[in-house]
Amino acid sequence: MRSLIIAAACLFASFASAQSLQVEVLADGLENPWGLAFLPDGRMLLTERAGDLWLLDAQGKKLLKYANVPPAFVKLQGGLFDVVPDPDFQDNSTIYLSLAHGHQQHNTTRVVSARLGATALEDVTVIFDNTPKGTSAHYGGRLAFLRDGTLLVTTGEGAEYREDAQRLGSTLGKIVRIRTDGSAPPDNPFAGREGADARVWSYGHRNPQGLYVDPVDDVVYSVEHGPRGGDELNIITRGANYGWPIATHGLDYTGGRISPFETYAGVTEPLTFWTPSIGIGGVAIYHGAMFPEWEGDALVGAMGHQHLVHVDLQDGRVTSRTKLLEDRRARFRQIKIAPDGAVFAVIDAIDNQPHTGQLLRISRAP
Amino acid sequence: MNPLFKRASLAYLAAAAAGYLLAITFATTANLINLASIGADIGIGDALRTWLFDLRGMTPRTTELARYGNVLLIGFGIAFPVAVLIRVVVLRLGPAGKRVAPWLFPLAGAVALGTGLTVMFQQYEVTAVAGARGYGFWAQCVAGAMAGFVFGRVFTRGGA
Repeated sequence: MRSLIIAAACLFASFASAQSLQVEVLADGLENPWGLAFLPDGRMLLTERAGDLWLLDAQGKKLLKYANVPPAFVKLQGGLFDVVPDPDFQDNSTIYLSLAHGHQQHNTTRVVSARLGATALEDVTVIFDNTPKGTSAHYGGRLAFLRDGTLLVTTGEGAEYREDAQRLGSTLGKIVRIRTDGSAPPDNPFAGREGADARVWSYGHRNPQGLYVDPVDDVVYSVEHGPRGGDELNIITRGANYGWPIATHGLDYTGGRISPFETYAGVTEPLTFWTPSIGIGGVAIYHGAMFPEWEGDALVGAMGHQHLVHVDLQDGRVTSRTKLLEDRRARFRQIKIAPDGAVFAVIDAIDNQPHTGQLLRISRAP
Repeated sequence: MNPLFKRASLAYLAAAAAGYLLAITFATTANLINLASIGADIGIGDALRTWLFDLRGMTPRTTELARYGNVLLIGFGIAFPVAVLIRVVVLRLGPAGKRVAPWLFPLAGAVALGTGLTVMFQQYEVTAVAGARGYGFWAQCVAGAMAGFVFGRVFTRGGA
């Protein structure tokens, strides 16, 4: 009886939460938007995977398309990915872009720094290329700054090179930590280890496309795609192994096992995972005045299953997961929390249709 | 039922069963070898459990077309009838044709699996079966060839 009452309360809470959301479409007709960044003056930067970088005003209206954006390898999952401003952007006008670079037989996840000029990027400098691969899948591509000013970059394992996710000499299937000039900080966990790439921060990742550094406590969260099942939400810690492909909660697409193991000694388990896969997108931890009931909880995008997930976190443990905005049929690619506490969502597409990408502002209904 | 069709059907079923068993065994083995190469400690029990799971998990099913068993059935279902027709022509070429004929069914089986895996890769740029990458691809072709051998033995029994 008690469990029935609790279940009913959770159901009511999620229903009430969903009913209290107001969604504004700030921009639509976008072509696979991927990354969103807030600038100090309230304007925004938005990337589209086909290779465009846009400046938007605070209401989401397009102001200009920047010239001199480095050309991306746009095929299958490749293209222009994320954008983040430098922590000292107000002084140096510097941004960082991640993209797929190269050609079919030899391509990488690349990160560049650039100065944001009036209408074009200036001083575009390559600061990172990961281990080359010959597929146009599984690039990772998310960027986030730690409090100490170093940059985290997620990389995928290229789909065909899954074992490389466990090899420390490769930057496939990793989260790397670099300085803004691309060099490896000396306090990285594998710096100085023979055969290891000094830029590696964590390993054993499949295709992490979500990354978020909690500004309150500097804790790093990541979400990554599983194969058939096994999409994960992880807390990323220095030097940790996240198991792919030795341990996974997913199966191969054709029905067989990726590995005999779902858990394995020395492998960090996810906070939570989703089977079947939801086509996991981005992640953000909510801190804001607009939804105090969400304080410290995770918001996760689902692209394949087309909804937003509210993950209730209590003392670092997941207590519930609630689907939101399912009726929009939107592929939630990235989640950001605006200074006023509204939630911004980058929508890859509606119902997988072309030219239907959107930028949403989700706020408390009046 | 037409005796030739009956024999061909029996041959197909026997070949599909043998090919499936071998293909899954090779795929599981290759996958576990790859995992062991990166430090996974895999015991006999782990390997057996995985093999049994793969045998069950990749069986053909109409509700899940992506299953590997479906790929095998469709591939063999195309390759072996084509090989039968080619064999008819080849056998009319005299002694040389008689030497070549026994190799047609193994070749058809190998091409069936190789083609199926290649088509799947072209679609998504990922090998759909973990153990069919690198040398594992060739092992799958060998499984297909052995399925073709079984088909040939059953089909040609009695002088077809």
